[in-house]
Amino acid sequence: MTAVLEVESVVRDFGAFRAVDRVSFQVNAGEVCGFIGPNGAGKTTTMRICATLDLPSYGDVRIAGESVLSRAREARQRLGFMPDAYGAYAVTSVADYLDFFARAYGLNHKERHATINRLVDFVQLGDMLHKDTTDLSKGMKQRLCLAKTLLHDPDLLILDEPAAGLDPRARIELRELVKALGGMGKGILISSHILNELEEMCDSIVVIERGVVMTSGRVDALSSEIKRRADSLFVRSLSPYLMVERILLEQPGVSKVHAEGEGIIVRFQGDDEMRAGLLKRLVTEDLSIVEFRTENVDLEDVFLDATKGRVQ
Amino acid sequence: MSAVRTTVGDRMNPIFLQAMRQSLRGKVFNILSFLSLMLALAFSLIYIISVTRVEEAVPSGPTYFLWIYGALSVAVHLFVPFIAYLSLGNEWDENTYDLLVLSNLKPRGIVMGKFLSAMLLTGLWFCAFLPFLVFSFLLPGTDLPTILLILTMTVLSSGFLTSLALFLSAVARGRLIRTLLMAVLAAALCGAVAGTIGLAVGCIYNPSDLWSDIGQQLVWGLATALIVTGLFFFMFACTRLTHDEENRSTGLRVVATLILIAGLWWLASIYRVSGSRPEPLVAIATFGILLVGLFAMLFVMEENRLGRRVELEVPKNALLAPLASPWLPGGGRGVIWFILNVALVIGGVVIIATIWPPTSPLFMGFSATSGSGLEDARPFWALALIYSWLYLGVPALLFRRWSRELVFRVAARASVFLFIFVALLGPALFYFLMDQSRGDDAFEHLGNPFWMAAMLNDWDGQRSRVIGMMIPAGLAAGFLMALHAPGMIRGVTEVMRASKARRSSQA
Repeated sequence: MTAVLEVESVVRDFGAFRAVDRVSFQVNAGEVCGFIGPNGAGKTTTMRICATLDLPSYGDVRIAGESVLSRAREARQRLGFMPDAYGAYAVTSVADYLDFFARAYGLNHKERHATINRLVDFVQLGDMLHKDTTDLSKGMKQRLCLAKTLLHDPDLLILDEPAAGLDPRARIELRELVKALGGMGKGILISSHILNELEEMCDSIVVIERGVVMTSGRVDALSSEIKRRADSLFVRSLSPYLMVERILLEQPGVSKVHAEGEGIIVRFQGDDEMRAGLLKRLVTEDLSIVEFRTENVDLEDVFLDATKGRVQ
Repeated sequence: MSAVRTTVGDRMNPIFLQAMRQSLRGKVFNILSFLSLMLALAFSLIYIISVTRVEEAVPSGPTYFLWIYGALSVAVHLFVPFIAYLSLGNEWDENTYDLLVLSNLKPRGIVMGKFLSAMLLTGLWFCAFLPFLVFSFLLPGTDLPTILLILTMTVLSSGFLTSLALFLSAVARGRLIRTLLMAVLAAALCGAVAGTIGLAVGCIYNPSDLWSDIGQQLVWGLATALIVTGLFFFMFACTRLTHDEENRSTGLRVVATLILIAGLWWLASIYRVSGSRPEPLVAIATFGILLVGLFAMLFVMEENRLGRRVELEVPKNALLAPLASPWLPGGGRGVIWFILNVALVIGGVVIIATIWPPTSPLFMGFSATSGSGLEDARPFWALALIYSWLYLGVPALLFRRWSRELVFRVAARASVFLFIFVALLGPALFYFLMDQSRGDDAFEHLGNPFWMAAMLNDWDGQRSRVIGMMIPAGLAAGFLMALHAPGMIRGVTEVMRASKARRSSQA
């Protein structure tokens, strides 16, 4: 796999404050990588460095092999960046907006027309070409901005919180577009707070907190790793919570217990025999168990496992 | 033909096209152009009615021209720069600036696009006013060359004010500061409208003064000043759009040096027109040194280190690298730029005086000096040099430690003016607070170079006393330069190191 984004020990200091601390990861062609972290974790700073809009105090970033330090102009040709606060000019139609940026990217007359027509079809804005950008809905503006980002056919897309503020339908449309772009072989780095949104489109994730990468890798590998270390069991009982909790914590393999909704989540490490033993014990203790199952590991578990619940 | 049109269309500045589309479709331009044309039409009607109601009235072209010129001046000196200011400001408001940076556009292309679209608006306004201007020329009493000269200067001043507006817009990214600067700009533009109308009145009623030798020199001087100062503001706007870590200084330093060279050229022409009298040389060279100090205030306060991207722009050639140092970013290199440009001003004046020796002694105070002309000018230059350096060097030294932070760099520049204020008025304020009346004596001290310059003019026969007072000030300036010397040396060695790194990486 060809790496389209290589982040190499990036540090970004703002005075005495270190916003990003030795962050390293990479995104390959065709890979959709989720960039996860709480507010103020350093996601946007890292993404702006990757997009050549900011410079690392130390370290370097390579976009398709081009350093953002020494070959920023070349790197910009290979990347498309969609900031969280996307911009749309007033008194400008969709066609003029795309034409303007196509010119800014140096596309000639023929390329401009062909590319704009192709992209408006892709983002489903074909019948909006003559509409003013300020009259578009938020979801449409986001798709227009995505089309702008794709004008120069970049190898890497950096999308900063693209789903923020979108209604459920617009989110689904955006997710489908991102998946399609990944399928076209583009590397995509996408940040979001909505973890289940990312789960459906990401191949890999990078979890960052306080400027430090807590974990990174393919989603399935990280899930397996968590699963290997400990399963999450879901137990629902009619008996009092404190009683169930006390008995659970006495059992071998159980490391943590907490209430969630109507049930209890149990962090458990052990094989099927031990799991069966645990259920048997709960029943013999005369607890009224109505549900006992193994929870699937999702992105939220990966995130919580990586940050150890230290999210602010 | 269509292939040529397509090629030209492809090569046009996209910002220019976008800004034009927005301006022409937006309400602001349409309303303002309608209003200004209505104003011109109203002037014309009032004028025609007034001259036809008075029997035997002779239509006066100059009066009518000035009425129309007033409306045109409002359009191109007030509306055009203001639209340019709003247009660049919108890039921050609409969050489009980052998107522009990521395209192939460079900061210079962005500012140029805004500038060109403003100039096109100026052109459109000129076209709209053309029928009225032609009508004014058909009336008796108008002089076509004078009108053309006024209109040419109007285009230049509109360009200058647009550059100023773009500079102010590039400086102010926060809404509050932008609103404040908008008010400042509006006041300045109103002043410019009044000033240009005043100049037009002077020119149209006294064309003989305008076409005299000295009048022509003043016109050339004004045109040069508008172009080079406009260029400086333009470059300043470009640097403000450049990332902190990139080279924000070289363009400004080069333009500042060009301004000084243009100033010297103008000085030489004024000097020749005045019959090679030494006074213009002395006065403008002294002003030139102060101007170098003013420019250097931007450069000396910069952070000393080269940015990571600037290191990659340093010349690879081992000989060129140290020579390029004064024009590369950094406080220490800014001090070297200051020294070199002061040398340029003084050297330029000396060369001019060598080629065309002064024809008379320097007239000082109430009598001519006994010297041959420039000998008596040296104390003025020394005074300008010593004090511009002291006022510049002390704050730069005090704030050098924190020069990485923008807020401290701004504070350092502001403190220059505070320092001048305290140095000039400190003793007077002290005496005032201590309730001691010293009269004019409170202003006659070592910290007041203006008083010293007046005394150097040999008023009250105090010239030798003031020259004596300059010695401790000169020693202080020399000591201050010694304190800055390590920074200058570091500045040059850093450039040489970066150059060496580039050579070795290439190898």
